[in-house]
Amino acid sequence: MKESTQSQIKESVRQGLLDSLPITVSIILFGAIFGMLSMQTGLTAWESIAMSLIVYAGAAQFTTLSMISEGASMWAIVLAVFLLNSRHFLMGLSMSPYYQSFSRGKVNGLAFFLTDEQYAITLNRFRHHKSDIPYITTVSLALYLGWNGGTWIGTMAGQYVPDPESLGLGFSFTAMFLALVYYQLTSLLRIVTFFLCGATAVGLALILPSGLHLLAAGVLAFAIGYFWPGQEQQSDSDAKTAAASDTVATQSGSTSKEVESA
Amino acid sequence: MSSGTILLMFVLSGAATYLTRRAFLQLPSGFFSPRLKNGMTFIPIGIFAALIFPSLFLDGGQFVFQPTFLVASVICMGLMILTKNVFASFGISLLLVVLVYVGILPFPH
Repeated sequence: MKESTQSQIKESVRQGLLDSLPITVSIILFGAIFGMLSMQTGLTAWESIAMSLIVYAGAAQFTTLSMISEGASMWAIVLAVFLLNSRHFLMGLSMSPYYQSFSRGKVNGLAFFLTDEQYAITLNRFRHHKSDIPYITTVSLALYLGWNGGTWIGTMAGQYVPDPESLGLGFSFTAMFLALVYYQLTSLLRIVTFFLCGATAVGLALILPSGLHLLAAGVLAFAIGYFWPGQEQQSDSDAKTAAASDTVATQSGSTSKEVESA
Repeated sequence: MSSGTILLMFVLSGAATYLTRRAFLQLPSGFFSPRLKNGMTFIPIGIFAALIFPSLFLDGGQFVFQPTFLVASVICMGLMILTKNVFASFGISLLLVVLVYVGILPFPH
């Protein structure tokens, strides 16, 4: 009986490593991009690595860098991180049935690792297999180590990049955000919301203190989604859309296909 | 920002992120109305729009026209539509901007 349990654990760990490997490669690359950009923003290597270790949220970390470079206040940045990560509420909700059998302490620990990529991989697995902690832990640690390892590599490489402004590297944030927002624009209403919020943000950024235009755009987008729910497919697909949308490696082609198939 | 403030910001951002991940991880799925759920899925669109558009049209508190960035943005989004590959879209559009800035590609910026 004990041997059977151990072999099940080994199988879960092995499968977790296999399933997370392609995305981990993507995550290392994106972590490296983050590390390089953070050096351009003026953070030290240790501050960059500390952010990846503590916050561990790709899009939110890119946003933080962009806001730091614009001189936004600490509270504006924290608020933006919270709003940007609000999609995790839904992801947690859709994963809830698979975590019901775990103890509260274990759920508390695993919650830290609930990124978009981890969500996509584990949800795909649990549609056909019983949820188990060794599998979740393996996937979570592989992705976490990949993100932090990538960040470290990027900070090392970033020290050798010359003056970013003279190379036009200020566009790197915009390019990253454009690529990230693509998966959010899944309906006409969402596209209209994107342009409407963009125009509003530009107008407000001219008159409001730094960072507040971000909050206003987030609230406006929420209001549109709240008052026009009929335009959207709801229920479980919401969480899948959210998972396919934001953070970093989920946007690599292979992961998106996994999310779509999930 | 001082190192202490930056570290505090990371801790608060980490706590905010954790809260969003942990809050509903053991709740029944019917806890929130579909309308509220739908509204929440729209929030990142607004945040991203507020990050992208001002960086394209504002500089130092002034409205600006930056043709290189605008063209590169269209190319970035076009590549995402065609390839759905973040690496390619990010890399190629940024490379075009760099080539313009170092003078290899002739284009006003």
